[in-house]
Amino acid sequence: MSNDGKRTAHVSPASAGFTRRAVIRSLAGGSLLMPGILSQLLADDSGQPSAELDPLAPRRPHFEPKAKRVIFLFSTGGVSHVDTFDYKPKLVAADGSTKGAGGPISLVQEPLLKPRWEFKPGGECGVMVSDLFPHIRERMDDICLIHSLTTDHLDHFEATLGIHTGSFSFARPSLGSWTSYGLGTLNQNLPSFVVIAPVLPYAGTQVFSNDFLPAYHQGTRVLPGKEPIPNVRRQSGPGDLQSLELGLAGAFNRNYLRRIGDNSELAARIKTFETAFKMQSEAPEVFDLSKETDETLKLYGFERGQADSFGWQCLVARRLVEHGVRFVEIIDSGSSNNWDAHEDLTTYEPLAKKIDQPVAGLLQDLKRLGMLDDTLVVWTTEFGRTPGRQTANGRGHHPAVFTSWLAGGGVKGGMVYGKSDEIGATVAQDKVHVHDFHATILHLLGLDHERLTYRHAGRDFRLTDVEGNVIQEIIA
Amino acid sequence: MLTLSGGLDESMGGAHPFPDQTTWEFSEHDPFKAVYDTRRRSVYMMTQRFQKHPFLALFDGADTNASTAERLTSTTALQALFLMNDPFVHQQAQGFAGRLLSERADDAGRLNRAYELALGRPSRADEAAEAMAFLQRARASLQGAGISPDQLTAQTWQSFVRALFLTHEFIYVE
Repeated sequence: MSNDGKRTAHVSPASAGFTRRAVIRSLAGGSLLMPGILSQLLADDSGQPSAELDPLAPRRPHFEPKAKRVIFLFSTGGVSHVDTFDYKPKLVAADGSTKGAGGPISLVQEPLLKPRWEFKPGGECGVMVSDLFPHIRERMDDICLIHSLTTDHLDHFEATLGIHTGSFSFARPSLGSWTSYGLGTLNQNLPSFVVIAPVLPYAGTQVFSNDFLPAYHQGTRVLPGKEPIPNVRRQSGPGDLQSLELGLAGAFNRNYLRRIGDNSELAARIKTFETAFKMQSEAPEVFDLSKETDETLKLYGFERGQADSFGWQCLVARRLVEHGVRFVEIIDSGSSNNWDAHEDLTTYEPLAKKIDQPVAGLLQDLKRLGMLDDTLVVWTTEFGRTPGRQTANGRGHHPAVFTSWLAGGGVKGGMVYGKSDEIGATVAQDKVHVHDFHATILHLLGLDHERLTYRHAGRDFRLTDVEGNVIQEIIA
Repeated sequence: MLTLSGGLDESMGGAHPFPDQTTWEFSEHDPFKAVYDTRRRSVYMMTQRFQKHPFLALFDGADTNASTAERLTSTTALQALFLMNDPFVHQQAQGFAGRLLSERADDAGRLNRAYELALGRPSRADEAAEAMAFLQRARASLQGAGISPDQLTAQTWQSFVRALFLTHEFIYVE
């Protein structure tokens, strides 16, 4: 087990009385593989917090949480805010006039380009959304748009890293890894942090890396297909052969323990093999959609067997959080063929069509299952796009202001927070930096972003560096 | 495992098998993301800042972005799954079992050889008894599954070697 146990004092154990003894008991509960070592382990009860023995055990957050789990939707490439969720009638009127940021990376004056799509009011709240997202528009009563997000970098790699890790230069632990570190997980037969990404975005696996946090908290990438989680398929031939092998290894390990004396790390190690054994049956079950009705599949907008669809990603995400996974990230496109419309905004139509109904279906499904109240759904991208044109029908990168949204998990629905200026070029009101966005997500999970720290390379690190303010106004 | 299976490539030096430079068309949108399968010593592994090698990501490899003063050790279920099910482990078990079979003529001799090679010590009496009982059960299980007699001994020993790979004494340095 890890030496990180010493460093986890900043996160309180599940309760003050949750001692090492209790943890060993829970680890050993129903154990097939480790009878006999329990009494030895219990003999030395030093009252250490649970994290030392079991870094993924569910932990009590810093304060009462609104959300227990997160589904984080990421659209790669920099989604144009003015063509999707940020309605700018003045930009329509100003089409062609030269007064706004444009060009490839928003540093030059280029003629303004009006949004390509009509905006219409959605839900009872009447929040305006473009025709790219007719299904999500219907869910606006559950969604809180943030129109005033801003980021620190104008290129994909750094901005993608930033929105995932709070760091724009060096790799750091991902938001999902911090969440796993802070809260543990509710079902150890599955990873705590799962990433459903058929293709990788900019910055690659670094966006869901645990980096300096222990490997328990790394994002496990899931690929549609026969073996979504690596190595869950049994390889040992006949059905009981693997059990025999684990049984023999278990017997050797028990003897070994007797010889070397008390070693509490062994409990975690033995537990790990049990978890892995159970994961072999539980993981395929989560990815088996045969018990989902045709009606549910339709809600997510895909047909049975279409495992390559975004709807599959969304439905599997719901099943994963239902089974106790703490943080699920869904990535819609990779580092090419994405929302990076420098030249042709019409590419947005297939991209939007691909995610619109599945995302709306996910919100609807969570709601009818009563899960939206404590499941936070986040949609974001790395930056916005220039209100001025780059080419005749394209927009450049625009970190100065962009839109993202939150839904469920204790967030007010039917709400808009912050404002961009009248052409969507700068923040006009209530600026939300990426660090504020992260601080708010952690807050909804009951975690104080200033107290969720990890000591590395001689100092404490946070997801939010030395910044970040929680947006209190959007919390229900 | 590679040492035990005889699969370790001990050759020294030489150029890394990068793609020919004239074929490079890498960009931010299409980055260089190769993972080279290698049987050489790990000093010859390619390390990219951009991504950890999947094996090293699984087993707490060092941060590729900064100097790392202290390496973490963790014990995760995915690591256990790797040891239980990854084709690499099964291949090495096959190699190691084959070696035991060719080097020693009987089960007792093979068992001692396995302990010498894998753990650097002879097996103890209680371990030998457990192991012999296991070999019988595994053989019966494989027989029941219809494994042909000429494969039976090999597969039984592969199974034993896999169990040995799962022991703490083999995996961890205390």
